[in-house]
Amino acid sequence: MAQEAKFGKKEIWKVFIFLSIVTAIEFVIAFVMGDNMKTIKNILFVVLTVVKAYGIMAFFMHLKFEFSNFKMTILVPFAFVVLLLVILAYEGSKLNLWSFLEKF
Amino acid sequence: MSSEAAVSKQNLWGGGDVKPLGASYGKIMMWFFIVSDAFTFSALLISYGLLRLSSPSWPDPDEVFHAFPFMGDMHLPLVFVGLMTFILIFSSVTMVLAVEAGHRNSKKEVITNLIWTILGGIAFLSCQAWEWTHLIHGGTTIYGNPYGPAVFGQLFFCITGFHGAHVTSGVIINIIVLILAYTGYFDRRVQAGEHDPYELVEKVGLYWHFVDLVWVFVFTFFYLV
Repeated sequence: MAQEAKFGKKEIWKVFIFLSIVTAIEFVIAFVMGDNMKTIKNILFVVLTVVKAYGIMAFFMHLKFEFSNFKMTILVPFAFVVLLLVILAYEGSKLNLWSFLEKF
Repeated sequence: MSSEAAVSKQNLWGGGDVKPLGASYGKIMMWFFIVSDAFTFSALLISYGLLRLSSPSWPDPDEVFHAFPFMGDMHLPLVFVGLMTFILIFSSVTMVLAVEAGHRNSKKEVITNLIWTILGGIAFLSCQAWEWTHLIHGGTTIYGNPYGPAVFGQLFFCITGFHGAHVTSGVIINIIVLILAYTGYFDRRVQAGEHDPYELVEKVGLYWHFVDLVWVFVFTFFYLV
């Protein structure tokens, strides 16, 4: 309710079309780009996922129109998620859990 | 002087005159719940990343997820999960339309859009049930699978199952709000002159969009990457 921004039906459908187009681009990338470009492909997928997450959070969940105090309260804790991701992605590439996992 | 103090004290309990977050108590708490739930999903997805990166081989998603109902053994990678993604994004749109109708106190539109949202949720769950059944009959269980390490199946069923449980509870909460709308709960709030009478729809909407948000990540990391 903070800043009563103009966000009516027209804008909702615009965001929907945007999200659908981004998903369609992901499909095109998945089918067109070969496996020899695996790294570029994965980077593109992650970037497009973040774009979609931004669309959903900012407009559908209305976060873009909240007070900046509120936005920071919600978003800053995710720094811990990024930290965990960086640490475990690094560890994952170094660990050899294979012999352990095969037992299950 | 004393009455003034009493008034300002009451205002503080009602959120204070200057609301630092500019949102109601219920909405803030719904957001905090969503943040904590997002941490749970983050932990699951990051653990998936750890196990996948440490594993020397991993199943190719195009090979695992290539089936479509009534299409037999046709090779249609990503088509079914694309349909599921579309269903969930579309149900998110009808949910946000219900919230928007709530701001205009339009009961009829709220009900119509909530029904579409519930149908979308049920359609998504049905798709997931079909996909799980198909995979289990194809030999993918938590004990092993024909494509690669057993941990793939364990993580897949754990994470999509946890997400599916969220969709299920979202559908149930949406049905409760629909019943409230039918039985005139929001009409009474409008008549009582309450500020933002349809706020409950907005709170439930936040949860529903969160479920959609999680699916965006599950879709990328299980089906695309």
